[in-house]
Amino acid sequence: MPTIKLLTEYGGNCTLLLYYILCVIYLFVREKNKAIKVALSVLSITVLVLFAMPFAYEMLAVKLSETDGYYRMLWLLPTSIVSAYATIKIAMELPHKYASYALIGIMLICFAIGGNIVYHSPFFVKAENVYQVPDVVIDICDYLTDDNPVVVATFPIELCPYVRQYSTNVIQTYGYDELRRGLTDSQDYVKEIIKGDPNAEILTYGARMNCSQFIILHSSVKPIGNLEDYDYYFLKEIDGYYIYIDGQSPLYKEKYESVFKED
Amino acid sequence: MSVIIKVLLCILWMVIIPGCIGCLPTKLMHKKYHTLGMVMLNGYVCMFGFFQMLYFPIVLLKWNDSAIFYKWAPILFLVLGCISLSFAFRNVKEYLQIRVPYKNIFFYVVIGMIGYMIYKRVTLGVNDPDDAYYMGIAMIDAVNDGGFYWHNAFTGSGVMFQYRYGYMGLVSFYSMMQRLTGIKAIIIAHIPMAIMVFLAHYYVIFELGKILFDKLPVKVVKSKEDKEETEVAKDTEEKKKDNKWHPDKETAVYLFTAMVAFLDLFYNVSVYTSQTFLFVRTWHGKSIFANVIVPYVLLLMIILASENQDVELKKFPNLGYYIITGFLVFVSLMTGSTGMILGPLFIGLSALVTAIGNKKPGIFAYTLLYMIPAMIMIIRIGLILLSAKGIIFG
Repeated sequence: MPTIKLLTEYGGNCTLLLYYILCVIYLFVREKNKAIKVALSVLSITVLVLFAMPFAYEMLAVKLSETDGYYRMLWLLPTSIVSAYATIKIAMELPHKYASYALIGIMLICFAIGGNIVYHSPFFVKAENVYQVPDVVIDICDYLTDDNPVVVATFPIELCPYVRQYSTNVIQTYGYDELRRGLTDSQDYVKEIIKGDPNAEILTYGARMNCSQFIILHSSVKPIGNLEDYDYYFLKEIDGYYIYIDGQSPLYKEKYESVFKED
Repeated sequence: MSVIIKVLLCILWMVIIPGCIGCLPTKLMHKKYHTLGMVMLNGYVCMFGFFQMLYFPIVLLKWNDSAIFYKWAPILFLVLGCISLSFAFRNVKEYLQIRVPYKNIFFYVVIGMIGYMIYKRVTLGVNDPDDAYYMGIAMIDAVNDGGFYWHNAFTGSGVMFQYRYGYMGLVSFYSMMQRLTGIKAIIIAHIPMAIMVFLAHYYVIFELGKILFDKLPVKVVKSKEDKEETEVAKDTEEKKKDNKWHPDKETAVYLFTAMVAFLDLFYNVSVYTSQTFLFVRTWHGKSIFANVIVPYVLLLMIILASENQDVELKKFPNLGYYIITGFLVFVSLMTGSTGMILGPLFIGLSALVTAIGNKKPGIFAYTLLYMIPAMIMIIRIGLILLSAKGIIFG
């Protein structure tokens, strides 16, 4: 059944989920306050039953095309609340206070072993500034928009998610959403830019077709061919990234051509 | 605008105004909930509810001048704040009374854990494409007067109106805050809003703890005037004669809050859990729905099911709770498509189960009554989304 699979995926190693279910049963049997019993135990059981019902899956997941998000129904289970409350209740029922303290201590250790601390998540990166985007993005965006109100730029894929979070004055030629779609309907130059050795001709042609005034490449990327042969000139290196400007763009002629000639 | 002015404006719009708005609904609750935390929580619930009420018709009517919306919404909040404050002015002193349990070690544990979470939230960034989309849209809305959700978040190019997200106003709330304070939407979401979400989550847990351990004796207070507490103290002394553990209410509540915080930290058993969303995507609508709205609904249902709801408004003793329940449906809708489906489902289901389980059918009937305004909006959006997907009228 898809719902059981979703439940086990949600629960990971299922230790904490199993403990939660035991706590729900415990509260159902032992809780004397009816209001609490209904809210924490009966409601949890109802949500779990509803989650497992084929008709609920059919209605909420299949009909609404939300099969990927059906697990979110499990957010309606107050897992931490029920587990913590039941643990304290059990501890209070033990015959000796030291046994209670020991139980709470042991349970905390079990939670730590059975669970996984959230800061181990691969989603986290060290924040380099108040925006929580990499410093390099800020440096590059500030450089590009210095005296230029709005610019169009082709960023490497690793910087792509952060650019528009920092500045709306930098328009990107492609978005991070393309990578999420597996680049199936992406243009050729986007497929090139994720390579370690992109073809300079395809890259510059595609970028220019999308009005990109700038191309940004990491210093470790070695394009096949020379970007200058296709009128993209090296402008500056910022934090290990090379910035190239389109020699055919009006911006180049207006602002940078004279600088290049002087050099 | 200097940084100090920006910070002061941020405090005005994210602390003082919600605080003022929350005064009136809190007044309609039992005196034991007349706390600063409850005022702030209710203030945010009402502010977000009104924001969504204003936002949806404008998007629905395709009134694409978002600049006008961003001017009127703050004016609405100011007016609401003034009205609410004027009605509950006498209670303000009561709301501001904060009692710090200096002698309770678990109080320091809770403060330390929440402080640690906030510290990590501020010092850790997130490598998450969904967040890139989310904040990209907020940044566009903040500088663009043309309309909502008509741009690709990554490229800035114009696209078709994004039905799936466009009717839910939380992202536009961040845009509005950028316009009002001058602080970029990304900072508003990642720092002050994230802090607010953590505080709101643990405040609801704390209040839940208070009601879950309501029957436990309160700590001995050496006051001859307070007969009730002296009696409780005697009771406690009797209980101490056996060797069982009899924590006082305060200790149990803080221990409970600390244990929930500990479990939250370790509940990253998969990327799907609500706790993972709380820490990774704190400011997203999904996280707010799963970690603030869901426990708050549970709290309200326990309060409604409990006896002796004796409040100032004797004719309608539960009015405040039902009003907040009604607003919570709007807030669920505001948080996104998940909240739009699961919010009314959970509120309706919990009211039904509470009504049946406690033999109080009025809870279900009144909850449904107060859900009607939000349900009209949800059904309208639902029909649009279903027809856009080709499921109906297709």
